[in-house]
Amino acid sequence: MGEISDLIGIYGAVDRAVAAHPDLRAEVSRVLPIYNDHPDNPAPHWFDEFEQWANERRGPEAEGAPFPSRDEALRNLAETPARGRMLARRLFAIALTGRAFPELLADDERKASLAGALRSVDGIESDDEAQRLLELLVDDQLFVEDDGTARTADAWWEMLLELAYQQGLVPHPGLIGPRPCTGKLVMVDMPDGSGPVATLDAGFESDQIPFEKAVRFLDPANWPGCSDFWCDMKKIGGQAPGPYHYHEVVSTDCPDKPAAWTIEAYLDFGFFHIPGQLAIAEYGLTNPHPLPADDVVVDEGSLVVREIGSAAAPKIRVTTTKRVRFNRPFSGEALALIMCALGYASIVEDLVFSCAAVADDQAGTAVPGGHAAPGGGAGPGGGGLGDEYGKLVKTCLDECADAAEASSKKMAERSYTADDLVQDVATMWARAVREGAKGVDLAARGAQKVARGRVGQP
Amino acid sequence: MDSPLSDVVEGYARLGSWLVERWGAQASKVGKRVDAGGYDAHSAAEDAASTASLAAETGFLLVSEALDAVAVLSGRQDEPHIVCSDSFSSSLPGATLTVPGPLTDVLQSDSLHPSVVTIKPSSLGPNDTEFRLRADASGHRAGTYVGSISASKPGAAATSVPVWITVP
Repeated sequence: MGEISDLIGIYGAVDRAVAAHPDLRAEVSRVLPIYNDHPDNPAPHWFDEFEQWANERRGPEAEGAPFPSRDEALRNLAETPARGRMLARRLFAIALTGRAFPELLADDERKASLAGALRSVDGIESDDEAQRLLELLVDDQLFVEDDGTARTADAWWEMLLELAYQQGLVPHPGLIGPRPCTGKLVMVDMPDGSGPVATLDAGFESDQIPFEKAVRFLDPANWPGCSDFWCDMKKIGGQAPGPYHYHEVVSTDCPDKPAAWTIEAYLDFGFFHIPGQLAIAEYGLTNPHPLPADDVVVDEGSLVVREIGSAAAPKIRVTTTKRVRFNRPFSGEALALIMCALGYASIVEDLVFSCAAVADDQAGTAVPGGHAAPGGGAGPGGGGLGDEYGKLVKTCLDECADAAEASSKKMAERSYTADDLVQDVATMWARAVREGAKGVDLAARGAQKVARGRVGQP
Repeated sequence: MDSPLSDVVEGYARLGSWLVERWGAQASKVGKRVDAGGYDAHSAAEDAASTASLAAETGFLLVSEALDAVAVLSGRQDEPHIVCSDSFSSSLPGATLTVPGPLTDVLQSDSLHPSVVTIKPSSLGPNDTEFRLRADASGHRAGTYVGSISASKPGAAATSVPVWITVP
């Protein structure tokens, strides 16, 4: 099993521990606030359902549990180097383990096994350094501000990395990134009326990675090289200005997909790029997906990289948002934790810290689609249609302007009934469609004329 | 407390007012060119896209508002999904800022109409250049919506500021 499976095994063990011992919620939520122990919020408890789903997804020849136990995962991690963004995720998982299983810290041998999972962290060169890093990860004092007030989880993470960096235990914090699982969960009503969907919204800033370097990994074709969770992002169609069609395969163990939790999705991507300032990758399910047998029912969002510094002091701000729903009945909180364990909603962190931070300037690829602005379609060409078009435009404008004004007056009278509403909407929509159709017809004829005129041109 | 129907009427009043403004401006622009004579293929080509776009947008907005109206009347509309942008900067301190057109998502599958986008502040202080956007993104797909803000000030040429807002 791979590193992702090991992390899921650890997150899963924490989830089960919290479910069995609700008194642990307060401690665990200090680093992972979604486990907050407010009496109105039941514990998310996602792992049992997810493990069952993984069992159903695996091939019939798969043996054993789909994810390792906590102790097995810790042993595996001790042999797996943690670099790039996976370093942050490793540190966070061990800090979480220390909170959920305090008994591991009370016994020297077991504590050593926990520290062992840090032995393979980039920068750690001895058992002593691993122990010192573990001490920082479970240090309660780091949750207290100088004035005695409680530190937030994000402030704790920043302090932790700063101290570890000062002691030479980890690379510069700007190369490690924000606390994992920071995605803010909001439930948003879907436009199609299918009810609320879990949405994760996160962002971070870095002054260690230049803008143009960071955006060279936005093309999904680069993602499998930046995260072990992405097995394949194959471009299967589309061209500039987009959308581009991709087939996504993600798995908790890409080298052994039949034995792992593996799902696929068909996604459309669009890109927007202002060199030196802004790059956006936006995605959503390709029509006609989702189909009844699809694993992913909702999957849409965007990745945004913005330059917010100056020429002398460059700095980027990265924001991501993802709405997701599987064809399994997970709660919003459960989905947030699954996203956290998988890293499914935080690919941009892998792109920045696992790829851009360590790559040379030419690594990755240019942002697809050039620098086109959305909605920038050209108007039709012309020749001989001017009079006809001028007449149509004038008629349309007169009618539409009059109609809009008439409606506006009716609204202002405030004696409006539901029947009036239906009648007015039907009338105005019919007019808009009629005039729109005329315009489209004329535009198409103009475009045909232009196209014919270009035949034979060099 | 307002009744659901008054909410509907208010929504349409806002939309109607905006449509009058847009169609009036378009009529004025094209009318001047037609009346000036020599309205040729080139002129037609230039006006075609903007007018067809406005007609389509009008139809879309009326249907959108109708769907919203049904939701309001039946009491199914929940709290609005309000989103805020990063800060942007205008090159014109003290400018008045307006949203001249919809913000469109990068996949070009959805747009935020100017009537749901507000600028904070819409009038910059004499030495201020920074502003943000706020939008009611209820019923819109997740993504990043891109467009421009028009900045104008007496005695200075109007400028356009590229803006974007991410909808979670």
